[in-house]
Amino acid sequence: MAGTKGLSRKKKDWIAAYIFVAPLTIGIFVFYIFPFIQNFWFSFNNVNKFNIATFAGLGNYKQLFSDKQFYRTFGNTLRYVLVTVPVGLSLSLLIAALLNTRIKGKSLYRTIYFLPSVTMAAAVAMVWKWIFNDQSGILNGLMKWLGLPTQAWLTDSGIAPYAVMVVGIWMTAGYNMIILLAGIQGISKSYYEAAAIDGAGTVKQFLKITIPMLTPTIFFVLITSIISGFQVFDTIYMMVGKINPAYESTQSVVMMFYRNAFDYGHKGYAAAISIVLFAVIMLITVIQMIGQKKWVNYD
Amino acid sequence: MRKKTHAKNIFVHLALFAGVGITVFPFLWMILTSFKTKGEAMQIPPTIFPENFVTAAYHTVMEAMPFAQVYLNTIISTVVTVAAQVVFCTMAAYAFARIKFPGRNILFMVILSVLMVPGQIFLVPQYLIIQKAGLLDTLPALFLPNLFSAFGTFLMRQFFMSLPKELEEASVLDGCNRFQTFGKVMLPLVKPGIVALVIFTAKFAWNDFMWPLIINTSQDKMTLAPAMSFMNGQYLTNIPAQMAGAVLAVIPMVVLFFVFQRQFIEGVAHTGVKG
Amino acid sequence: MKKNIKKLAALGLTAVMCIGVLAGCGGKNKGGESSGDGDGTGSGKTRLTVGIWDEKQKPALEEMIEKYTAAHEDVEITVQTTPYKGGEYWTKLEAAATGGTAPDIFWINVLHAESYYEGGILKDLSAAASEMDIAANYPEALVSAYNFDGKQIAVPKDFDTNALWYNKEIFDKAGVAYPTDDWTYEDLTETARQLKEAGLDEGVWPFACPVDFQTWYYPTVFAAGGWILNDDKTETGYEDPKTQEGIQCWIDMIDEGLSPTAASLSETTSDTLFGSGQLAMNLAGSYMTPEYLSNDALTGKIDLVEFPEFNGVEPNVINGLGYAVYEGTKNEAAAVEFATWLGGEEAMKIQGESGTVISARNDAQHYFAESNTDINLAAYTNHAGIASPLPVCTDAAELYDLEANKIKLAYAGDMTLADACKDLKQEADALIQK
Repeated sequence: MAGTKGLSRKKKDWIAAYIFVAPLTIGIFVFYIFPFIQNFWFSFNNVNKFNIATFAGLGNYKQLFSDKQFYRTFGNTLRYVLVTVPVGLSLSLLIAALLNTRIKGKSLYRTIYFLPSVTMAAAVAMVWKWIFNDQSGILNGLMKWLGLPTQAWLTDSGIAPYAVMVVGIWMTAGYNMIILLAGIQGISKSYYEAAAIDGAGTVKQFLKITIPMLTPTIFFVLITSIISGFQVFDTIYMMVGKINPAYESTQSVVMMFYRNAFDYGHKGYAAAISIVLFAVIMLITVIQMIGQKKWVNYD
Repeated sequence: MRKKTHAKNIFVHLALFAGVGITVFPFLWMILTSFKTKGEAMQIPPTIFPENFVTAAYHTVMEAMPFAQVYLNTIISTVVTVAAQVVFCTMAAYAFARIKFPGRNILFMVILSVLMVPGQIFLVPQYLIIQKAGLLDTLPALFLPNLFSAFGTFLMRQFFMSLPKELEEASVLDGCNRFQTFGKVMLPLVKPGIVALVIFTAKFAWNDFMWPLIINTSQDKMTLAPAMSFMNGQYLTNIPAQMAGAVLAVIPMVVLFFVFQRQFIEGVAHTGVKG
Repeated sequence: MKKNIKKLAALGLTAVMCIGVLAGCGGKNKGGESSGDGDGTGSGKTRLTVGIWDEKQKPALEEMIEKYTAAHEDVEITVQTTPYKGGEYWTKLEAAATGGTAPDIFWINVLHAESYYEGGILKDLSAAASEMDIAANYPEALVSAYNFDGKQIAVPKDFDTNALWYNKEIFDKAGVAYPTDDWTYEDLTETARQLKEAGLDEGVWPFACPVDFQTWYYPTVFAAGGWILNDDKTETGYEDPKTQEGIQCWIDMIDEGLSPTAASLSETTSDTLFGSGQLAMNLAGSYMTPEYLSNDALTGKIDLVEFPEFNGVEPNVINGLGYAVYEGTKNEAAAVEFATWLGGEEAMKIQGESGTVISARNDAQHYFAESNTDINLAAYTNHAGIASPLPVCTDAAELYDLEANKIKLAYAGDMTLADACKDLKQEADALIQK
C-alpha cells in the first residue's frame, strides 16, 4: 500500500467508492448496457429476425410518430399508469400500516397478502380470465345474484382496461407492501414513544411520524411503480387476445414492441418504440428525482 | 384504555379480512382446479369444488420433467442470484448513497435506465454473450445475467439514504475506514431493506420464465417455470396441470416468505403503544 | 454474538457463490460436450439435434430416431422441444440461428418459411429433394410452399385440414339427425336452427363462428371463388364480392343467433366450448384430434364429418409443416440424410400411425384415418388433394393481424363487411407493397 498514505481522505474515499460499485457496474455494463446500446443502434436501422441491420436513419422514428396505433397504445399505457400507481400505492400503504399494528395473526395476513405477487403470471392470468368471463365467470355470477346487469369485463372497450388494472394492482400490491413494511421497520421506536408521551393517537402518529419518515421508501415505490406501469405486458398479453374487441383500448406500448420485434421481425421499429418509451420514462424519473428534495426526507 | 385497543383491533381485523377474500380467492381457485380432471376444469359454468378429487395433474407435472432436478436447479439458481445481488447491490448502493465520488449521479442514472426499457430487448444479446462464453445449456447460464440488478441497487440506496448521517461520522471518528463502516455500522441497520431485497429477488428468480426457456434446452437444465409450459398441448392448455405446477412453484416461496418476514417482527414500530 | 452471526453469514454467502461457480465449471465441461456444436469429438459419433414444438409428437419422433440410429450406428440424435404457444419456439430458434447454434434439423411452417429463407438460415435441399422424387410423392401445394426461387428448403412433414365435429349427446337430446359427409352449408344452418328450436340447455349453442381465418372463413372464401393474395403477392382480394361471400356466411349465423357473439368467442374459444360439451357442432383442424380424444368429458360422445360443401365446392385450406436443415449445421451430410429419411416411407408411416398428425407423403396419408376407427377421421383426408394452400407472404403475421382487426368489427356488427373490407384492402395493400 505504498503511496496511499499521501492520499487525501477524499481520494481514499473515491477509491473505496469505485471498489464498492465495481462488481455491479461491470456486470450491468456487460449484460445490460451493452445490449441497451445495441438496441439504440438498432432503432436507426431496419433489422430482421437474425440481427442483420440495414441503415435507415430516422426512418423508424418518422414512421413511429405518424403511427396512429402508437399513439393509441401510448394513451392506453398512460391511463394505466395514472390509475394503477396512485391506487396501488395507497392500497399498499394502507395494508402495510394495518399489518404493522399489534394484532394477532399478523404473519398469516402478511403471507396471504403476499401470495398474489409470488404466483406465476401465467396462472394468475388464467384464473382472472375465468373470474371475468362474461358467460361463466364468478364475477358475473355475483352480479346476477345481486340483481345487477352482467358486464363484458374483458371484451367491452370501456371496461376491459379497468379490469386489467385490477389484476395489475392485485399482483403488485403484495410486494410493494413488503417494501413499505421494511421501510416502517427502519423508523426508530423512539419517535413513537415520544409522540405517545405527548398524547398523539394512532392516526396522528401515522400521519406525522410514519409517513414523513417513510418518504424515501414511498419514493422508491412510486418510481418503480411508474416504471413498471409503463412497461405493463404480461397480464394484458395473456388476458386480451387479438380478436378481442377491447384489444385496441387495452394494448400497451410494450405489447406493440413485442409484436413488432418477435411476431413481425421488425426489430428496428421495435427498438425505436422502446427508445421513445425509455425517453418518456427517463424524463418522468428525472423530474421526480429533482422534485424529491421537496418532499422526501433523507436524514 | 383497554377498550380502545380492542375496538381498534377489531377494525383492523375487519379491514384486513375484507382484503383477504379477494386476495385469496383466485389462489384457492387455483388449488381446487389443480385437483380436477382436464374435462372438468374446462366446464362452463365452472365448478368450484372438484367432483372427484384427482391427483392426475400433479402426476402429469412431475412426470413431464425430471422434477427433482428441475426443482433443484430452481433452488440453486435462486439462491445464487439472491446471494450475489445482496452482495453486489448493497455494496454499490452504499457508495451511491453515502460517498460523493466523481460521476456518481450519472453512473446511477445510467444503471437506472436499464429498468426503463422492456426487458425483452436483453434476451437475444444476453443469449449471444452466454453462447460466446460457451455456457449455453448450463446451470450458470440460468443465473449469470441476474446477478446484477439495477432494481436492487436502487432499493438499497434508498434505505442507506434514510440512515442518519451522524452514524457514519461517528464511525469515522472511531477510526474506521469505509469498508469497516459499511460492514459494521451501515449494513446491520438496513437489514429490513436486505430482507425486502431477498424476498423480491427470490420471487423474480424463482418465477423467471422467458430467460431459462431461451437459454437452456435440456430438460435437466431447466427451472420450474419454463418446464411447466412443456406440459401444454400445442393449442389447448392442460389447465389442471398448469395450476398444479403453479401451486408446486408457489409453496417454497410462501414458506420462504413466512420464515423471513418474522424478521420484521423484531423492532416493530407500533402505532399504538400501551393503549 | 452479532459479530459471529455476521461472519457466518459472510461465510455462507461465499460458500454459496463457490458452489455456484463450481456448478458452473462442472456444467461447463458437460456443456462443451453436449452443446449444439455437434462436432462430436471424443466419441466418434456424429451428433444431431432436432428442434420441435409439440410434446405430443415426441414419442413418435423418438420411435423414428430409434429405427434410424439402429441402421446408422454412427449417428446420435437428440430432440429439443420448445413450446410454440407464446411464440417461444421461434424466438429461441432465431436467437440460436443468430448465434450459430440452431438445431441441425427443425420444424418449420409456412408462416416463417419465407422470412427464414430470406434470412439465409435454411439449407438448400434441392439435390436431396430430387433424389427422393419429392414432386411425385407429396401434394404439390406442400412442396411449393417450401420452394423459393427454385430452391427446396424443407421436406414436407405433415398437413392439416379442417372438418366438422359434432356432439352426439346434444343431438340425441334434441332429437335431431347427425351431420353427414355430404352435407352442405345450407344443411349446417338448417340443422343449427332445428337444434335451437328443439331447445338446448342453458349455455349450449348449436354452432360457433369465431373470427378464425384458417378453420372458418378462408375455406369458404376459396370455395366461393374468392381470393386473399394474388400470385405475385402485390394485391389483396378483400374487396372481391366472392371473398366477402365466404366471410358473410359465418356472420349471418351469428346474426341469426345460431352462434355466440364474436366477442364472447374471443373470451371462451369454440374449442373450449366444444370440449366442455357446450357446443353441438364445431369446425376444427386435424391437429385438434389428440386434444379432443384425450378429453374425458367427450369420450364416446363425438364424431366428425367433412367440412360442409359451400357453393358446390368442398372447401378446405391445407397447411403443412416441413423439416428444414440449418444452414450453419456442422454435420451437413448427416443432417440432410436424416431429414430426407424423415420424409421417407418408414418415418411417415410411424408418424401417421401415432394419430397425432396427417403424414404429408401421399402414400402415408391414410394412416391417420386408420389410427382410430371409432371415429370418421377420414373426413380430414378424403379431399386433401383439392384443398387450397394457406395464403402467405413475407409479412404474413402482420397481414393476419390487420385482417383480424378489421374483420372482427364486421363480426360485431360495428361495420358492414363491405366497409370493413374496403378499409382492410387499403391497409393490407399498403403493407405488402412496402
